[in-house]
Amino acid sequence: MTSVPASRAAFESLALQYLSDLMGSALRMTRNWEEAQDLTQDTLVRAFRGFKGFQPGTNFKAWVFRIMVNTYINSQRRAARRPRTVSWEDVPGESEAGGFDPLAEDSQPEGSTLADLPDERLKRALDDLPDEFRVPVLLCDVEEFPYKDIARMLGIPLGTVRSRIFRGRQRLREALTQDPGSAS
Amino acid sequence: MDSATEPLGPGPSAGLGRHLVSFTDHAEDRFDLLAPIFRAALAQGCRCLFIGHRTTLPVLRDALAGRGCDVTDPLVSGQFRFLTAEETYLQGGCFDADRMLDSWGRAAVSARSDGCSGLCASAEVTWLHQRVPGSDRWLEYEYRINELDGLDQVGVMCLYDTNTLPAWLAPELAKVHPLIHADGMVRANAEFASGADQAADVPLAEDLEPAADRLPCAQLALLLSAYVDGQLIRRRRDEVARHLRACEVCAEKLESYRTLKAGLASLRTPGPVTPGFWDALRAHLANGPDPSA
Repeated sequence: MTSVPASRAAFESLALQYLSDLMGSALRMTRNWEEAQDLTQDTLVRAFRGFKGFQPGTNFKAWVFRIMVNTYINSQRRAARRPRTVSWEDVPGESEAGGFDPLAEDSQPEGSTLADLPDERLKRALDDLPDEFRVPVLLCDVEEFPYKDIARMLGIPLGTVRSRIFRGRQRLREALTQDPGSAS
Repeated sequence: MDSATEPLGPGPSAGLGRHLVSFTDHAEDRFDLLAPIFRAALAQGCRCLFIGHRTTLPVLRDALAGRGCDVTDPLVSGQFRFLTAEETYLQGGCFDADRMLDSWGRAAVSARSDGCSGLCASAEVTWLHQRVPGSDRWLEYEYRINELDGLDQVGVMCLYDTNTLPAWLAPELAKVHPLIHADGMVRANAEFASGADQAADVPLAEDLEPAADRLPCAQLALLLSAYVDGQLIRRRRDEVARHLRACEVCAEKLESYRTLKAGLASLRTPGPVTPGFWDALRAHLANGPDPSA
């Protein structure tokens, strides 16, 4: 039996620790089992290739998720096969640079409750978000990364992370407080 | 903290390779800081750059010359450059943090490719209180200067005039500069907040806006979302908490964000991993090149 090189053994040990997290996240990102497997594999192959750049003792999960998010975004850019997947360039009017108006976003009646939401409705509403809102919300609320890590993963400023998460949540609230019968 | 209170020196090279802040209420104090640093930087072959109002150049040149730093020849040779805010921070009539950070990176590269040993820059930002579009990202921008590649070859001296600076902003600015100039000495800044563990205290874009407890409820929604995530600076957090105690509508909205966040967190389930997947991946890794080789 041949011995496994030390760097590969170290990588495999870390990868195995986060493998199901990565697979779960890949599944939520791609919404497709086969694509999720491909994304996880591509991510780990790329991560292994760049493993020399990983500093032991730092946050492996954030490091490998960054690779996964980049891999996903690049694959979406290449494929551009989902109409709802839009550009990752800054959305006009979104930014803190003055065009974004929270007042316009906040027309939802209070009192409509989000409590006791069936997971399926929430999942469907999340799946229907455009990627530039869906991925930051996923990374924040599902994967529980801080804004600073998300900014690094997506290569966007902290303020943009915050506004995308906010706008993503606004859209989710709007979708979830609609009459379930009228939801598509 | 000993290292934070140890003076690094009265000026000269202490401002090189560093991000420094100074709060003064008098232009003469700013020239006192700049002259020895620019003099040393020029002697070391650095490019020096000052960004100011177009009327500032003759005043700056005379003030530096009066302090033993003659920039006449360096201005001609290009080793000392003067640019206006309109040419830099305010291109197109607004402040774009990303564009400006890119510009610093390019300026450092350009200095090196012109044969200079580094870049030593300073600026006056009196336009900041004029509520220029995009200036709400100023604190984020200042923080991100610390993350510029090659900062060791770039010195950035941020000189704030306390006559025009809102009082609450100075301590927030202090948090984003690793060095501070005070009492004629450059010191490591004990207030500097660095590292991911303090990310929540890195000021974000809202910080040049009115206090949260004076914002209309609808505008507070953006802050509520970040509040739920624990991603507001302490001062903002306290303001939002005060607003929430007095406003049922926002308290209800906060609750809906919390419910949504909890619902989303419940979607976090591990993905199924088949043994075949892991075996195939291991084989793939084994067949590829060893990255440590």
